[in-house]
Amino acid sequence: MAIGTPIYTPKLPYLFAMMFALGILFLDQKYDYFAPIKNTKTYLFAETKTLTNKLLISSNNFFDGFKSSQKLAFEIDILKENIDLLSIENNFIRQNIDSRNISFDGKPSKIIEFDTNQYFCCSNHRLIVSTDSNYIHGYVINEAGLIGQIYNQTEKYVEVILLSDKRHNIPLMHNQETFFCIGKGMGKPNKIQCEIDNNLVNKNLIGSLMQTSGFGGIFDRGINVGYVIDTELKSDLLVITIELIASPLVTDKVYILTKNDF
Amino acid sequence: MTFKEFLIIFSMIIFGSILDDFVSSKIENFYLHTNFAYLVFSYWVFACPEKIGVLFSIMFGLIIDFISGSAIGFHAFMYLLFAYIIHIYAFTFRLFSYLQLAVFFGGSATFITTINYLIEHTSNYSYANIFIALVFHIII
Repeated sequence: MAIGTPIYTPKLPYLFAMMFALGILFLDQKYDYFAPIKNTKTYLFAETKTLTNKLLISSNNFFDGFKSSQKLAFEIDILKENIDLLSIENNFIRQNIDSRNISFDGKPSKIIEFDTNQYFCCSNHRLIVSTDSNYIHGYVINEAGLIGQIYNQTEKYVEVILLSDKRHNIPLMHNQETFFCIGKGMGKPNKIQCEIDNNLVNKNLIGSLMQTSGFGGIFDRGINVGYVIDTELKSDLLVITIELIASPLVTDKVYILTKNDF
Repeated sequence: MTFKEFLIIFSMIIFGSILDDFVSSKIENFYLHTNFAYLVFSYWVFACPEKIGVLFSIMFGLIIDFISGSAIGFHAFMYLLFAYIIHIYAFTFRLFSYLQLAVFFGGSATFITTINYLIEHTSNYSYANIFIALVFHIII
């Protein structure tokens, strides 16, 4: 292909355009000015994915319709879904059965979109789940345990921020309630960090279980979060790294719960 | 630029963005971060510098920001910067060998990835990942 002849390149339009782009970048990073546009994009992508899945299922059912086992196949799919949901409910109840007052009144849901590239490479750990209710405050569990909390809701889709997201903080406590801290996402899959006063700790914490403390009004108290895998001393603070029990990659079936008020 | 030309370039850049989603992946403890959308854009600026100016650069950049979920304005700024560089050195690039061109475009694609990490994902910055991305972009 013949390369076109370069013409005179004016500097000023490029300079103004670059300053304009930098201004937009500043507004987005500092004030999150374009959040409505990003929410619209999230909604459009989720809606497109849902419609595409529906079309695929419909076309599969259309071809299966010529077979006599179509009804059976449909019933098997429904049973499989119900088994997954019961498994989540069972694990959660078993996990919390020995002292907690957490009544299981969660809404079953499904992950519509999960950007695994962002999850593995970068620090934005978010996923989109579908819902038929309005949620202002809620947290999300899967069959392995707690994975995140509700961040934003657009129509029938909810954006969930995972515990490992860089912007997420969760109030934690040691399972023997010896100390409390704020678990901050590290932007790395399945890991969060806590800083505690070194003077409050007088034993080796590796392998200790960390749970939600119930502070903050989002999470119920006593939900298992993860185990301490590493500790590091930074001046007077002990920085502990916690590996989360639950991974969002395990299944696309989730439950949305809200904190119980007593 | 005619509407047909705009459509061809736009659809190729969108295809590059989709390819980024598929090809970018975790390899053992490393992560391959590709930037096909920029490579396609920079190719068209290099091939048709008189067709792609300020307006199209900023427009394509904002569209990629919107689609990829990165900070709004980041790719717009980067696309403008490299469109300007390619324009002012257009005659110099004609003297470059294919290897030199590959190094420049691969390096600029990796530069954008690096700045993205430094601005948005500081805790995930890794020299190993940047080096892998550089080698991949030069080869591509």
